[in-house]
Amino acid sequence: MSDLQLKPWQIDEPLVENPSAEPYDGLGASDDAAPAASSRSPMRAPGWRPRVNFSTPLVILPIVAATVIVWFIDSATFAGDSGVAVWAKGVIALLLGISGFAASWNAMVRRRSLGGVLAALEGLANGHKDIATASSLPRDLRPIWTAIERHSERIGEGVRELSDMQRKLQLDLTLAETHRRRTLAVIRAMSEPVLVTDPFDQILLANPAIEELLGFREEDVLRKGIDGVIKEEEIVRTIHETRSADARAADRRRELVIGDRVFLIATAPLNPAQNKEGSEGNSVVTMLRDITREHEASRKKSEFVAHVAHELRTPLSSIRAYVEMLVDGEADDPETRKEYYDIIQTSAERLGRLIDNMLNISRIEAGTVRINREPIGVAMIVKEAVDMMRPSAEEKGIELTENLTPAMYQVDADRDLIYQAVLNLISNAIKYTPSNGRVSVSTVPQEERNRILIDIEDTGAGIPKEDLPRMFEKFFRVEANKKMAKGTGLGLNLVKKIVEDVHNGEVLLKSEVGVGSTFTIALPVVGR
Amino acid sequence: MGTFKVLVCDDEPHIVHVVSAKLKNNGFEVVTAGDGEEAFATAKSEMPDLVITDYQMPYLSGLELCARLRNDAQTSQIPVIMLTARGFSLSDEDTKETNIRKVLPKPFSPREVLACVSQILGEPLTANSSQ
Repeated sequence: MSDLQLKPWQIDEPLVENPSAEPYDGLGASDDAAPAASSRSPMRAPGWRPRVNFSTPLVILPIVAATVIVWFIDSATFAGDSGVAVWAKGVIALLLGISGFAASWNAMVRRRSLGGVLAALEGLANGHKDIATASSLPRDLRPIWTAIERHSERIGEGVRELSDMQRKLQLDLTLAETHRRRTLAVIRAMSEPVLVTDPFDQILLANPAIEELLGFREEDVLRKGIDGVIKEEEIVRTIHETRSADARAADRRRELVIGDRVFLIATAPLNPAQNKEGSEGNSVVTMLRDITREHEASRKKSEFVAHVAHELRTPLSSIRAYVEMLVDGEADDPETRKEYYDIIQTSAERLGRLIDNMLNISRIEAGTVRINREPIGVAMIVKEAVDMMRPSAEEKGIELTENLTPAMYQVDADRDLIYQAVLNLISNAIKYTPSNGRVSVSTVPQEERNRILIDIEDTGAGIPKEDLPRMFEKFFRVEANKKMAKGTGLGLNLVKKIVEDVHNGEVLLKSEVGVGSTFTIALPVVGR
Repeated sequence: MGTFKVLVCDDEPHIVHVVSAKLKNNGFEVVTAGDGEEAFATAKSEMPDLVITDYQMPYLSGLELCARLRNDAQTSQIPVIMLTARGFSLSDEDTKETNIRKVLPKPFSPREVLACVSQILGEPLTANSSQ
């Protein structure tokens, strides 16, 4: 642009004056960036006016006439008539005078008309094409003027072509710049830390996420080697390996722990095969992906497996040991044998319950649990569960009472699942209530909300206030109460899933340390 | 060789019951405890020749019990058999400062427990202190 001094009048539309100043943002045209196409009105060259043309015959005629007259006078002189000669000389003088005047007049007019042409040319050079037309010039100057005009046209066309090309290039440049900025904006907006390094392991780009994570600023580390900038050896090593590795050996994965967060270092080479110019060489893109949550999930899963393994192993140990005792003939008398058989049976049942609990939770979570909904009497199910748990309560010296509403409130529910939920709560109440305590189970209709409440109240250890919100989390167990009973940490989670996820009910909990807890299952009533 | 006295400690009553039965049937005298605290107190009062304890117990873990036994002049020589329900083996670091002679994973065989007890108690007593 700077080499080609384009004037506003040489193009039809305004141009973007400065390509780098205001890149096209895709939102609006860049009209604002057009230069001030000021005063486009043609300017008149000063002191110039179209003139009447003086043709050559006008100048030549008096001279020819004078010559003829001189010749005539000479003839007359020869004849010796001096009166005629005097008259003739006067005419000659007059004619010569007229001729001289005409010549100088013509010269003056010509000068002025040339001045007009020059002024017109100057005007043309300054872009005021409309100042002169060929017809307003002396006839002999007209071809020159026409030639100049044609030439000027051709230059104009060339200039227009160039400016079109220039405009196209400008647009391409703007688009390229827009893409570059967009890509950069995306990389900068990414929550994942991103680093780009060149074949010499120098930093080309570091987005804000990596700035924050590794504690440096991009402007301070640009074009600096990673060895001096990055303390985390795993990152440096991974970049080194990726840069020097064969292109096919891309995608390396290594984990990195920073504080309490775990990151996956993912790198990929920008190898020459992918880059036609090959100028990038093996530049490397490094991205750190926060996998803390996945790690936590994986840790919880391992914990779950460990819990489950432990819980399964305890009854299994009993079964194996007692069977071996029987096989080895360690139980001579029928009474001892009966005792062993009973223990084996109890342990097997416990094992079965554990497996049921786990499978039910995982099925409900996966949404594959088979639910057989039917209208069932709440009181009946609760009674069954209470009766089931009565032996354990008696064994521990706990008074287990029931207060069930006589009315046949019905809920649309899966019998087995509701039974399981109620059983889990009663079992928990007995587990966490010391000997000589009391566990009371009651069903209470809540007419205004069209639901029935199953309350399981105990005089047990109670739950610390801060633990209440976490009680239904998987594997959560109250630290202070761990010693009172063994548990999978799954029972309450299952209750909540059965009641809330499967039956659209609600599980409520009230508790006070040292006083006791009340767990309530609320289920929508369908009839009575 | 008089009757050996063995302390059996587990928070799972069935385990205590079956191990005790096996040992009693084979001529051992048995005392029992339901948790680590109780086991330590019983060890002090009963002075058993050997302790069989679970690893995972409330109040005082099996490992803590071992450390306490070792640190008490009265009980520092008593050998220990550890039962573990979890699928891990104790590291040397864990057992260095204890008298743990054998770790048996659950589910265990009462036969195997008896064999271990007999083996450990059959060794000269000096072997205990060299551990």
